[in-house]
Amino acid sequence: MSEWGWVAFAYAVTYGSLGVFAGSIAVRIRNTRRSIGETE
Amino acid sequence: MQAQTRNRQWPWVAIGLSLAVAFTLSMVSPADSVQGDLVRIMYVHVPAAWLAYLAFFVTFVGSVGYLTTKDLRWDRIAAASAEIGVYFTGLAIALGMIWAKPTWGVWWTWDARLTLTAIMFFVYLGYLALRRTTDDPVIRAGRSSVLGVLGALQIPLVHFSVVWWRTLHQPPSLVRPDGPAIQDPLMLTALIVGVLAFTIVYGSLMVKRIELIKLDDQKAAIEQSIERPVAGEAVTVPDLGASS
Amino acid sequence: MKRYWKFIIPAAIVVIVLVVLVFSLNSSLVYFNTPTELAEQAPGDGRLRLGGQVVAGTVTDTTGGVTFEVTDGREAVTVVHVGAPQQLFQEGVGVVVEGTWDGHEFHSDTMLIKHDENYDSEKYKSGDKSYELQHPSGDESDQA
Repeated sequence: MSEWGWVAFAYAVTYGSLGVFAGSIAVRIRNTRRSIGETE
Repeated sequence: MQAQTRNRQWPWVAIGLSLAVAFTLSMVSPADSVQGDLVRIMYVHVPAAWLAYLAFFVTFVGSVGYLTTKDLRWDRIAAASAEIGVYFTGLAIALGMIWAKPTWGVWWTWDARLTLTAIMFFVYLGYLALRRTTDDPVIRAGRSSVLGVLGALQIPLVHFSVVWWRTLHQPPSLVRPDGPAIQDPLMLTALIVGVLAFTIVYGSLMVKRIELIKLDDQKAAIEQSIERPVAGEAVTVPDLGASS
Repeated sequence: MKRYWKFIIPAAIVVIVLVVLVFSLNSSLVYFNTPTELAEQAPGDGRLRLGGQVVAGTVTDTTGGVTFEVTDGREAVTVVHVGAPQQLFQEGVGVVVEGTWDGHEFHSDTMLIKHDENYDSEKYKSGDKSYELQHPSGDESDQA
């Protein structure tokens, strides 16, 4: 793999995992708000 | 309600903006004279590792706060920070492997820094598991804050492992007695801004994670209060039978 | 307060065990030997690691490998390496090689690059410090 290939790999892992982590918190907040009957 | 909703969403905006700035700087900064473009991996690897330390340190502070005040708010901070810290530790390990393969020549090796980081990762996974061993918030806070204090002993151990023992991993470039070992100011800026951006990401994630813990607590409280009247209602069962 | 002792005591035991382990394993935590340490060691079949800087002007390609000298600034040891050298292998770079010591030469079949903590751009290193106009030097010393 080229140098830029490795860099792209690293940044994909960073932003991909952060997106999943932050996204899961956002979804869980929304679902919990709904289940306790609070509007967003 | 609308305005309140918008106020709640600011952490996501903060994460997006700070990462955009850090990403731009890490791409426009020059290549390293030895590593070439591979040095750009440092601008995410080092911030991820630094945030792991910070997050576990906050867990330590939250644990000490709980043990001294017995206020569950401290425990919430400790719990949220530990989870985010585990994420950043995992990210730092993954990015370290991606950086190590093209530079050192291996994905992983058992030198002191790497081994102790892996142990720290598993200890805090254990912390998260320990929190699930009971539903009682007070017992849970007591148990986990003890581990939250003890686990923090690893932070200096991991950080100074590269100074105390001979390792394959290089010693720190940024925080060292004679100042940063990064000469080019643009490269240094990219690293420092990366650390600041990840710190903002951490703070924003903490706000949302604590919000989620509070909501979960509310939900548990509502469920408990619903259960009680239901149990009492058994008395009125004959009434229901008569009406139908 | 009493219930915490149930956790503090085992936790304290764990910590003590870890501390004892770390310090008794002190020598295993050392990842490689220096050329000076190796020169004092008796030759043998045991595999060990040797680390140091590649001495400039000593790198010669051989069939199926490369030979070079590794130094820690005091002693230098000749390394006979079998296999392709790493991508970043060059004169002056830090290496850790794995293999056996015959009292005379180090026979290695595994090479790792140990890069140091210094980073610099080609442009800045060559003396073109034009960035300084945009980033006053005060900026830099603040970070230290």
